[in-house]
Order: sequence, then structure tokens, then C-alpha cells
Amino acid sequence: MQIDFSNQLHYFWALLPETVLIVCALLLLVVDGFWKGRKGPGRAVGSLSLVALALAAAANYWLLGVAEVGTTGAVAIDSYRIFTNFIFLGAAALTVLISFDYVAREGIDLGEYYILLLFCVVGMMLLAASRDLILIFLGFELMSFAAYVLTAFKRDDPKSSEAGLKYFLLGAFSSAFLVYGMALIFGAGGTTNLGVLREILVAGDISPMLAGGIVLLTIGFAFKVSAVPFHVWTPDAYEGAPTPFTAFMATAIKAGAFAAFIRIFVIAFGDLHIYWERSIWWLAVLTMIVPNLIALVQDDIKRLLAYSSIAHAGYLLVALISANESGMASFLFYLVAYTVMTIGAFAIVLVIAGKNDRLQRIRDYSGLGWTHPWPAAMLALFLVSLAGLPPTGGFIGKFYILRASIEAGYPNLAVILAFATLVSYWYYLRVIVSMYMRTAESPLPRLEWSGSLRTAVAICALITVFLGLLPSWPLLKAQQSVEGLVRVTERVSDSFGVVAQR
Amino acid sequence: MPLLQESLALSAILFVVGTVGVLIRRNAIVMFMCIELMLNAVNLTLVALSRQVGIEGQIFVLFVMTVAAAEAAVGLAIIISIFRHYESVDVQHFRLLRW
Repeated sequence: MQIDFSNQLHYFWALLPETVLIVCALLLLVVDGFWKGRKGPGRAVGSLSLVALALAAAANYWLLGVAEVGTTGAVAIDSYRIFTNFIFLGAAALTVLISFDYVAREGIDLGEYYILLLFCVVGMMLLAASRDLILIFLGFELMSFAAYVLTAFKRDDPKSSEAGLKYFLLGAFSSAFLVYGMALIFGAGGTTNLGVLREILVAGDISPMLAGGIVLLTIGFAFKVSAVPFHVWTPDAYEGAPTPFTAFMATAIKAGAFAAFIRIFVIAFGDLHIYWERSIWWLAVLTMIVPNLIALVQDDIKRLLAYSSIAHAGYLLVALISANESGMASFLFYLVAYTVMTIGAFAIVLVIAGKNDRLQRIRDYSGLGWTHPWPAAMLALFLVSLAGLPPTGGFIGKFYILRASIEAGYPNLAVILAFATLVSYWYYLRVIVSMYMRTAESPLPRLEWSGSLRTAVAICALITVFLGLLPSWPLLKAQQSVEGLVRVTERVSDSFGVVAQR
Repeated sequence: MPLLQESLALSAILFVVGTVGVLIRRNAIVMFMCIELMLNAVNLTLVALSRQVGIEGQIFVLFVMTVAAAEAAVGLAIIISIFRHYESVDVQHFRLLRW
């Protein structure tokens, strides 16, 4: 099927996965409202939301066979979008699976939890799909509003409300920067369409308005992907939010923001690479170093994982700066690995924390390896992968990012990345040492983890190991997904040539 | 193009006022009002530019206004939920999580 947007109906086909998901979410709201069962509708809505995600994934798969005409449609239909959509849908499905136990235990077993999660996913999918600044802004806000509410979802817990407020204030603040940047870019480029902007904005011709727009946009995105020094909200929001949603925030929401970040900077501003790469270079360096150092002294495991996720945003920024084909491919590959290992780690943290999230200190994990071998082994696997040791997906992903950054001519970034990774070994291994080499102060009670949670952890573990042992097939898929963006690389090197000639 | 520079300068000033307000005030509702001021500064920029550049700016303004309204609903709900715990909307009192 060909899509050229000559007909309004083409927008419907181009946005089919989003449409399917949002219709399902609205239907679930109705189901939730009219539920007559004795028990609450939470569990049923949760199961149905898995069906909704599967339907959206099917629609997304259908998009693979759809071709678009030109590169200026407001909705992009390229394999980059389809690949990231699968990441979002998969992360959401895993989050739903690990949520069942948690919401029942903490008394927030409400249908809205899952419905808001679906809206959040729709926002991300719009972010990955849109080639228009207005649509990107709307996608951001749709994603963020659902995220604010879900962060503050434990209404009885002052921590959760506090996290929600902080996340909301700083999120709205950063949105204002983002939209001001978009307004200035609209003024400088004369259009909000990224495909057209790409043709208009060429190197060597940069107005103050455009420069201001790029700076403001960078600040806005830095907040959204929690790059240092705009990360202050992240540990608080991650610590206070319900744990399964923290896993979702650390993975899918960050991935959504990165998807739009790449769409705007690498694709629309590809020719302006020399102007924005220096500022993002500094962001990446700070984001790799600072959180790894702060994480060394954390006692709370949720906070530790929050700082670890900030550091991982730094690694992804390295892939973004590289702005070449292997950079984009390694970005997608790392995103998959990062998503499964982070969700897996948070799932184990959620199980061990027990009612009211009491046991979240690292010393609560002492002796876990002997009293509860399975959860400890799984957590150890995910931490090893996060640290980037073989034979896991985290190692291969980091390796590809290193290779891409060297290919793109940033050996110094590669050195800093390797150094930051070395520092991070200390705090990841500290948890593992505590699990296996200390004796328990007070043994944990029997853990309650249901079949759905075990399934999710098993899937995460399998994918982590699979990516580590057989990386070629997923990497090939990632490379094919960014082939449509190839033109960017050539243009970037061209613009370097132009500057060199002057 | 009459008054384009002036409108852009005014909206930049409004935006800075809003930014400074968010950074120095400690009352959650006032901070939120400052964010709304920033969004309105953006709207002014868009309207001023769209006379020269194209109609998309005015369409953008409609979306920004809608989003700001939705943001007010979500934000005030969160502020109410935290007020129930602390009987205060002063962010300096919220210290359970290290800020």
C-alpha cells in the first residue's frame, strides 16, 4: 500500500497503531466505569490492556508493508518508527505484567492505572512517528500528563505525591522551553514540518533566532531525557513513583523522548551537526560521569537504579552525537537491551521490597543469594548487564556504541564512556557482593511473586542473554531500521566538507 | 512588518520573567502560574511570527492553549493531593525525597 496523504483517510492508515491503541484505551475507560463485578475492575482491565497492546503491535507489524511517498508527510512511516514502536509496546506489556502484584499489594488496584499507561504509550508512539513540531509537542504532552498522574498514583503515600509534584513542575517547566524553541525554529525555518526544515536549514546560514531555538530545544530535551545538569527531578520522581511505573519511566518514556530527539536533531538538523554537536558533547560527558559518581554513595536501591538510568542516558547521547548509521543502529540495539535489563532489575526490586516498599536498602539484600537463589540470580544477571560485562546484551550494546563513536571521530567520548563504565562496576557489583558474600541480618520472608511477574522476569532475562550471545540478528534488524535515515550521514560529512573549504 | 521586533522582545521578556519566577518562588501554585506565563509568552511569539511566516503558528497556538488547560487540570489535581498530606503547598516543606 502507498501512502501520500492526498486523501484524509491516509492519515488514518498511517496512524493505525496509535488509533487502535487509543480506541482500546477509551473502550477500557468505559469498561472500567461500568464494571459490575464484586472485585474491582483492575485485574480485568490490566489483562485487556495486554490485548490492546497486542492489537497495536499487530497494526504496527502491518505498517511494515506500507510505503510512503516523499519525506515530508506529517507522519513518518519508516522502519525507525516501527522498530521504536515495538520497543514501547514491549516495555508497556512487561510493565503491565510486573504491575499486577504491585498494585494489589499496595492497594492501588484501579483500572485507570493501566489505561493511563496506554495513553502514555500512545504519546510515545506519536513522538516516534511525527515529522511535525506541533505533533511532537502534542506527543510529549500526552506522554507526560499520563506520566505525572501515574507518578502520583499512590495517593496515600506522601512520597508518591511529592514525586508527582516535582516531576510535574519540572516537566511542565521543560515543556515551556521545548515549545519556545519550537516557536523560534518555526520563525527561522518558516515551517513546522521537519522534512521541509531539513531542506531549508543548511550549514553556514544560521540566524540568531535559529541558534536560540536550537539552544532552547536542547535544554527542553535535556530535561526530558534527564541529562546532567537537568536531571535533578529524576532520582526523586523515580524513587517516589510506584515501582513498576518507575521501570516504565526509566525505559519507555526515556526511549520516547530520545526517539523525538533523534528525529529532530539528527534528521531535521542533520546539516547543522557542527553547531549542536559541541553542546550535546558536553551534556553527554557530564551525564556519563556525574551520576556514576553519585551512585557510588547511594543506599537506596531504587535511587541507585535511578542514577544508573541517568548514566545510561549519557551512553545513548553518545550514540546520538555520532549521528552516523552505526550510531543510530547501536542506539536502537542498546535501547532494546537497556529496556529489558532495567525492567527486569526493577521487577526484582519490587518483589523484594515487600508491602509498603519497606525493604529497599542495599543492606536488605545481604545474604539474598543463599536464602532466595532465584531472584538473586536474576538480579545479578540484570546488574551485570547494566554494568556492561559479557555475555549480556549490555556489553554488546556498549561495544557497538563505542565503535560508532570512534567511527564518527569522537575517540575522546569513547574513552570517557569506558572510564564511566569502569566506575559503574563498583556500585553494581556492590549489590551483588552484598547478596552473595554477606550474611542476612534478618532473613526475608517468603517472597510472593505471581506467574505473570515470573514470566516478565524470564522474558527480560532471556532477551538480555540472547542479545549478548547472538547479537547479529537484532543488530541487523536495527541496521535495516535506520537505513532510511542513511542520507543523513552523507549530508553530515558534506557539511563538514563545506566548512573545511572555507 | 510592524511591531514584529517589539512583540518578539516582549515575549522574550515575559518568558524570562516566568523562568525566574519558577526558579526563585517556593509556592507550588505560584511556580505553576509562572509556567503558564512562559507558555503564554510562547503563544505571543507564535502569533507574532505567524503574521510573517505562515498560518501554522496560529494553529500551534490553539494546541498550546489546549495543552495548557489540560496541564492546569493535572497540575492542580497533583497539588491538591499533596496538600492533603502536608497542609501546605510550599515546596520547601516537601522533604521526604531529597530535592
